[in-house]
Amino acid sequence: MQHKIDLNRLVDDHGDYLYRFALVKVRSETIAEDMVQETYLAAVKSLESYKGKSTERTWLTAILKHKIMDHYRKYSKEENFDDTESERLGILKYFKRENGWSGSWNEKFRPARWNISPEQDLENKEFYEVLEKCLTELPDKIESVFRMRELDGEDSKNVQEIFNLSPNNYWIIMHRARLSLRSCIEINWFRTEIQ
Amino acid sequence: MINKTKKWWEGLVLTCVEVTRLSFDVPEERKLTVTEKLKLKFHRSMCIWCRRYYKQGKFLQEAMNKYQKKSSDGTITKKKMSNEMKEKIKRELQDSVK
Repeated sequence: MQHKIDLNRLVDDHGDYLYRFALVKVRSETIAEDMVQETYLAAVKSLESYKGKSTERTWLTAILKHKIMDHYRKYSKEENFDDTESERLGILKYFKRENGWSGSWNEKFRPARWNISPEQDLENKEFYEVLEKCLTELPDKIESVFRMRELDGEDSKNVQEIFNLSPNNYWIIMHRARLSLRSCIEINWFRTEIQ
Repeated sequence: MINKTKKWWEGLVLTCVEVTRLSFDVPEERKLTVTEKLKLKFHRSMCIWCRRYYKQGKFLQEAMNKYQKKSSDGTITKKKMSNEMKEKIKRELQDSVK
């Protein structure tokens, strides 16, 4: 049975959603628009196989996810991703290296107590603006890997394959990302809260 | 004498670098041994900073997940594709089914 879909409505109904879905992952408005464009073109080619089993949005989002993964596969081929030495150094700055017991937290970066409250934090638009800013402070490659993995819960094996990372390099990159992000959020969000 | 003690202690306990490393993203191929799990627990029972790192890390995972959803839904951002782009896509779609 041929599923009759109004193509204009398909764009009107889901275009902005798909655009925002891509934007938070790829950060560039131009690239996000390209991803959406490619998604719709691919969708129209596979209209025959779309039998309405999932919702239109789910179906289109699945196509978009693949486009984003392809985009990052290409991107990681062009950029050198094997920079584990600098990542290691990036990690070590959070921990002091003294003569005695090395490997414990550097006082400057020790996690302070966070006053977490869901309404003030996770439901707060300003919090996500700070989160976005802290994400952009990560080195590009680390930021891309981290976004791919954490925003959507993309399988870590897929992330490793997309960015051509060994499990160990991936682990180091994520460690670096988490340390940096935690620190930035603490400084820019929780420490600025009125005690 | 002190060096021997240090070595023995370091054999027993994990450093904060190691603990923070083992707290997230451990590769499937490299499962934590029972000894490592015990060492992790022991360290965190004594080290408030590594305890916080873990809790805060969990919070940030939730935040990232919500960030994706709220961005896509349009809850926290009203960004839209340009009208020119939408029209361009519509035209291309119409062309491709001709």
